[in-house]
Amino acid sequence: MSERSRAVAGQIGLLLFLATELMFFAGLLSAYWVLRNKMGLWPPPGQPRLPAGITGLNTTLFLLSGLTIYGAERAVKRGCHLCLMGWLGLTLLLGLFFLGLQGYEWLRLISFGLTTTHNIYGGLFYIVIGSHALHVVAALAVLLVVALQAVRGRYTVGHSGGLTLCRMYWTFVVLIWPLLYGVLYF
Amino acid sequence: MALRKYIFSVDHKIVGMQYLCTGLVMAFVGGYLAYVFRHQLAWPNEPVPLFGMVGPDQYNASVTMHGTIMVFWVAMPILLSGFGNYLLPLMIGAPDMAFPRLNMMSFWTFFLSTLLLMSSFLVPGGAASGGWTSYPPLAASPGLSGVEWGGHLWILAVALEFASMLMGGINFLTTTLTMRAPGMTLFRMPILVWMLNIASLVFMFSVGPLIAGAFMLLADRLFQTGFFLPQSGGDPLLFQHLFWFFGHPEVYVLLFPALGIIAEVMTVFARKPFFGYRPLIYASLIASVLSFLVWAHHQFISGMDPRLAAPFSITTIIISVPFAVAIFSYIATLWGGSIELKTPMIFALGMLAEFLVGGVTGIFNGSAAADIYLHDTYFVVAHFHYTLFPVTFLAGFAGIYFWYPKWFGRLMNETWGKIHAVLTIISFNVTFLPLFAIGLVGHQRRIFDPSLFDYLQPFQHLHVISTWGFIILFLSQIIFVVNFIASLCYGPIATRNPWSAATLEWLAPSPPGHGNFEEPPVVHRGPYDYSLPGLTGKDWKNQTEAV
Repeated sequence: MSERSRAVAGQIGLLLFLATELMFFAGLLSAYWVLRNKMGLWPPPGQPRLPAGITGLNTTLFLLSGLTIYGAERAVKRGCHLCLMGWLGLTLLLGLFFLGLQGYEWLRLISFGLTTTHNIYGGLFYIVIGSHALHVVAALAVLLVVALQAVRGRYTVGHSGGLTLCRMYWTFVVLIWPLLYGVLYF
Repeated sequence: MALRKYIFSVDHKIVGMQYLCTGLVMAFVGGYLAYVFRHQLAWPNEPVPLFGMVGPDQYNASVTMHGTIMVFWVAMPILLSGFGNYLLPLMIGAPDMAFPRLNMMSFWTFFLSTLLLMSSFLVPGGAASGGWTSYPPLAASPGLSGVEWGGHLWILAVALEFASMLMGGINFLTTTLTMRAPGMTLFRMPILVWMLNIASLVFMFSVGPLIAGAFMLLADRLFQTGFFLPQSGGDPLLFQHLFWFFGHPEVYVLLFPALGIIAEVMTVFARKPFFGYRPLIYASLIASVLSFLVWAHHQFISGMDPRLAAPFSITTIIISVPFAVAIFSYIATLWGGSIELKTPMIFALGMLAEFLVGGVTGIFNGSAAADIYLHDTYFVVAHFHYTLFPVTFLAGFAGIYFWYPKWFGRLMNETWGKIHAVLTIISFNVTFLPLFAIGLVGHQRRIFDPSLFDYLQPFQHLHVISTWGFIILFLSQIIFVVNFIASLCYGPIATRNPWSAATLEWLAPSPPGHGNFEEPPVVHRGPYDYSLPGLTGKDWKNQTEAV
């Protein structure tokens, strides 16, 4: 197989995987809607409100990281190694910041008494947002591998298949987030 | 070296064989469990030879694990992963899968899931016993069933199994899209290749919601979230919806490869082109879309909104139309053919006939009015065994006898093959025909001891007949195992193309070496050019022969 057709095969395979991921989140969200409509009062009395404001800021920054990784891919096409490293580094920082702030919010929510035991409101929050957080962790791991490859100068014009796959996965993880944010935090 | 070649191999043929053999071994585990509970049903509270006394807990566990193993650890790995991995690259003229390493990872994930599942028999509390559908609240609260670790392991094993099938499905679709030989257009692909791809697509789009549901079930078990427990405000019906949104398409995931296998076998042994190749493909694509719109027909008496029953009855009856198209295509393929009753052909004909019984009885279950009476009776058990047994075993055996010479370079014994085929088909009917009758008199499923119910007493002999049928069915498989193993050493040497078949896999050596073909094939014609007029000597042309 030529490198080009290998790259195409990789992209097709990843797209199929992302379609499955989309169905996974669709399943979670449909479960969320069913249970929320069943409960009537939402959030249930005595439960903490979710931090929509600060997470909104976090969402904006996370969406930006969807653009910065695109910048990294363009930098390879222009052949600018320094720009590539810059854009990748920025994406990593934004991703880490998103994860850090989310983790901090989780700790605060737990201290406010948002637990899972016999608590569907809390359980749904942790399972939906937690599933996404696991995806962010996976995406960050992939991004780290790609960044290490980039440091070694593995990506040149026409030879950036790995970077493109990473960009596709990262974009998916970024774009699914506003949907989850919109449904769960309001 | 041998370790790299046969155990941790990335070659699609080895991976396919690993799946097939694991599936066959698991079939005996599933069959043994069936023997345990069938013995209990026929002769309640008598000790089961080779097992001992069956308690209610062991009965529940063996029924649950029988269903789980037969669907997820036998039917899926044999039909989709076994045949698919071995044959798909060969049939489209590719040297290997698009992602060989992912392929190896897929098998080892599957193997790990098998170990997890089998280990659940050994943990305290025993294996999962909430039914193969794992319905909450029973499956969501270990306190209710007394099964703690068995239930956790069940969910983990099933999730891992899905992950491995997902890797396989991505591989099938990508390989088909990117690695076809020159000239192999989509409508020149053998039907099996189409069917494997349609099955993979259906699997991939349906499995996500079930994984979501399984996560939530695990959270209920481990963190007491109560998603599916009414006392916490949860909804047990929600799990049923998530499960059957996957569970119903899943039956087509199993059916499509089986239809593909018998299409390959029937065209060769009827010496005819497939009748209605394109209509069959279109019908299958339509059925695969419809398969996402029928799931709630499993829940007519679950307490869901009764207004949903009518639309789901209608979609269920509509989905029988494309499958009727398929069945008619197969019958028309046989019509006027020069039929040769070799072992694979007997199994393929058996599959078609028996599956028809399963399909027709499905209409009864699919109409809400009839299902209110039939639901959760042995009628349903008989119905789905009449669909899944032909799909898994009759089509599976047809495929094994058919491609055995390609896999191992030797033919299986024909006489013993025929005896195996006839015994299997007859004893299968003896096992499951009585269950229709027993269900119609109102015998519920999942009853540990039928002798406790007075109204079932006059029908106890049907359980006895069914169990004897099953014992013969199970013992007949010894013939297969002996034939399979003995033919490895003593079978007649097979040529490259012992059946005079026209598809690409028969061009490769038997067994094919690494890389499959000596020279990359170029395709010039469709897959089923049999009984061509004006030919002397042979009546067919391989796909690579010029028009």
